[in-house]
Amino acid sequence: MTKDTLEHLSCLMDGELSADAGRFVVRRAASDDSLGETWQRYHLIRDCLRRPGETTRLATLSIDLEQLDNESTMGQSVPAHQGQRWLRPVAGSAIAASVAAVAVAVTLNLNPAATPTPTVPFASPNSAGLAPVSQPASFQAGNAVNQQSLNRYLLRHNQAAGAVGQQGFVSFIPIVATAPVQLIEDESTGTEEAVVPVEAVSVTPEKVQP
Amino acid sequence: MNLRSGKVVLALSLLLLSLPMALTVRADSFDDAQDWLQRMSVAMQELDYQGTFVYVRGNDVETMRLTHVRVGDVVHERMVAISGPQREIMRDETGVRAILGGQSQPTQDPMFTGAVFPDISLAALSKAQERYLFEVGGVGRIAGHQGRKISIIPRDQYRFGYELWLEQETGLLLRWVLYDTDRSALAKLMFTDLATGTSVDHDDLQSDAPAQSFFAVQQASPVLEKPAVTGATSEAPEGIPPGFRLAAHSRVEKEAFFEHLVFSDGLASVSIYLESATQPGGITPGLTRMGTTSAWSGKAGSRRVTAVGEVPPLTLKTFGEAFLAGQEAGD
Repeated sequence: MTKDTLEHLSCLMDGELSADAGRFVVRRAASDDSLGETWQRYHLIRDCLRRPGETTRLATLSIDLEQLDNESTMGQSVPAHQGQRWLRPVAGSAIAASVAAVAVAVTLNLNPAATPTPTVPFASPNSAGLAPVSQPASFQAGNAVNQQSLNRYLLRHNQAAGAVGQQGFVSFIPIVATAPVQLIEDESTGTEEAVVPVEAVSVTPEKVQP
Repeated sequence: MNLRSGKVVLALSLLLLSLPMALTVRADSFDDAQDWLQRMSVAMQELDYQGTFVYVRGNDVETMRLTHVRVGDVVHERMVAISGPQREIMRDETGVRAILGGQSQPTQDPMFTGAVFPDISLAALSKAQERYLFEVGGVGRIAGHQGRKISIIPRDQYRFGYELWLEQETGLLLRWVLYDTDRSALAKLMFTDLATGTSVDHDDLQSDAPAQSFFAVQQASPVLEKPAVTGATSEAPEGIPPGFRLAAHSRVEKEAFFEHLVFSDGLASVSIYLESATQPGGITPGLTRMGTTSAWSGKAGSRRVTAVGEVPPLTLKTFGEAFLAGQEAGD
């Protein structure tokens, strides 16, 4: 993992990455376990930095992506958040130093209306005794099991729809084409749900169940 | 009768006379659209054509080259991606072969069954008339051809809309747009050049890639049965979106319970999967979107319900919750 990669990851957390660059980092993270772990570690550290009484919530990658999508939709080229950049790994000891300083008040609420989706839980060793109010961070885009299951459902659906003459006008072209990562907000719960890149739809090694 | 009341009577008479005409126009619009769509379906299967099209979804643009040639009863088709990773799909009398770029292990899944532009059922279109408004629009120029616009507008929020531009002389598809419920475009496909008949270069059916690069795609389909009574919804719970009827289903009860139901409104289709909640392989509960297709999943008691289709998320959620309620009532 290069310094540039960490830099991009930090920028993504700060909402200071362009939409295209953000998607690149997300795709890379989906296939790079160490990058995913780093992402969780950054959130863990920030969790520890949080002051009592703050309403800071850990932003899942989903929320970051939604912001990126919004930027893209609005045609904005400048970052939506100009807040203080933190955890930028300029040097190898930068993270540890910033943890030691603890003087930085971190509030990064990328989407106040959204509640992060609990997915892969991890414990936050909050030594300051602060009750964690945040949800764990995770890379849903890298959830291979979820993706394979989705592929299986989709494949069987396409076959079944074709078998009953309901394959639509353009058949499997949307599946072959590359799709961007997208989110759907569940209006009833106010939560964002799974993020799945469509590229993998065309690569399922599993057989469709009878 | 004075002059004023005479004018009123005349106006009412004209109004009454115009009503049947208006109804006729509406009916004719569907008939005309149906004729155009039938022409398109036949043309896309029977004619020889070759062209480059772009598929646009959001900020992503895919460019693909398609060659379609019919020799006797056999269709030779080759679709190759010009941009992005190498992807190529070939279809002829020996079956379907594909290259999916960037894959370390090629898939054997029977994804690419049928043609790129599938046949359209007239019976299904008739059913779709209940839930969509069909309109034949004006003429425009696309890829050097005169095209006729056909709009298929949903009558409620449970389905997407479509716009098709068909070549005036042959009925070939020149442009396709998928619309969200708010009339914003979800995806577009448009030919940028299109050759037909003797202008088609048959050499383009041959791939530059070595034969061993391709893998054969199995053509098996899931075993589905038509419902016992056509159009019956007896197996569907109350509360599913209006206009959707059970089109096919299959059920397996061996190691674990698995049931697959396909609902259709004539144009759009939704798959419902009912499984044992303990069965591995489910997706994240809630809504998931993959391009223009979405999925919804939830659990109730011992059952997991998953809905999949190229329809608005609301439709899948309504389907899913209706089936969940049915499962809870059954437990």
